[in-house]
Amino acid sequence: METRRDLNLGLRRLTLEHGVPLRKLAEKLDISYAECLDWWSDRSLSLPLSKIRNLVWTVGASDDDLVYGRILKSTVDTGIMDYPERINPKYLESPLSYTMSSKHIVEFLELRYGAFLTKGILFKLGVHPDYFRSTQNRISILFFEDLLREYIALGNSVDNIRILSKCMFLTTEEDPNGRRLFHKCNRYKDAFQVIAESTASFDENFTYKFEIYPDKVRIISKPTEKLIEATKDPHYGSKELYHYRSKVFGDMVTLCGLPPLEMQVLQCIQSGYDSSVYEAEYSENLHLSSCF
Amino acid sequence: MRHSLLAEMLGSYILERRRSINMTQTTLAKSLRCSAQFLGKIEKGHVMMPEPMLIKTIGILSLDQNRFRKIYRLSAEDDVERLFKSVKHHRRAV
Repeated sequence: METRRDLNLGLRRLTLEHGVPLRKLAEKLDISYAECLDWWSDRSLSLPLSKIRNLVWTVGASDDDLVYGRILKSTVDTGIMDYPERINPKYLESPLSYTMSSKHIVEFLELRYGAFLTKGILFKLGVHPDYFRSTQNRISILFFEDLLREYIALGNSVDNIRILSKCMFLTTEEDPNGRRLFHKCNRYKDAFQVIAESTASFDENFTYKFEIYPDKVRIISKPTEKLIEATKDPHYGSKELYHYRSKVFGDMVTLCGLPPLEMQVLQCIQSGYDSSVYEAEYSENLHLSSCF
Repeated sequence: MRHSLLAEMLGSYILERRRSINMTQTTLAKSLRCSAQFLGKIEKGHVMMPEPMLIKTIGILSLDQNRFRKIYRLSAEDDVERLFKSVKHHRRAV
């Protein structure tokens, strides 16, 4: 249990190290500028624990993180100083994804766990929520991986990842770009054609080859040269990432107004193959295809 | 358990909205004529709020219809999938 003195010292150090303007600090601590100035100039003064804790929790950190100086610079920049563009540099190293590929997960977290906790997760990772205002902002696949990890850390199992691919409509239906990409279809064949054309709007991490037949679809996905070069790993990706990817195409048909399909994983990059192959059979007799 | 996701999302929204307008749990519970303990369970998503109470809550907290649509749609997607999975398992068993 950290004491009031430890937390006050931690906050002083954080303010000094990251050059937090006192006006901004006062606003975030919900105290007056004069109170903040007094505290800063007189080391014997302490701010109330509740004020400091509230600030720390807002940026998804813990008391220990503050006391031991474990709060990232990008967390301070985005969560305390409110700079949406100063995101964690590691997510800008090879930004091959668009925010469209993860915005729906952020929205889902907000619906399920509330805005406070979701913003906390984003600040902790060093990404400002405003970065998701445009679905065309670029970000690294590492962010997606970290977001999945945070979702699991909230007490969800790998199986619970399924719901994340189901909520894509949260982004596509409200965003003009999303609405443009997906239009209503009456047949799976047509829906997969629409999905095949939309893949470039989500990421440049993988290439996709869609083999579309009247009764089945086969999707072959390979990491791009850019991704291999950035990660130095031809089999890059976690179990969670590939689990999500195995479900997402079956759920994307819902964006075209059709019931979801269960994709079979014929091979997976994570098991050492050079590509992942997903397949689903369907009947255009809709009430049966979604079930069997 | 059937309504778990719906209950969680509604509870989270009610809690967030109540806090944003600085209303205490006791005040809201009084307006809804229920105990603060029961409201606490609703906000944590452990219990689904009964419909008459939900109607009152929408009015008191001015809850947003668009957010409700998203919450109900997500929950429905989850329910339908579970239902069809059960049909599949049932078919296999037969």
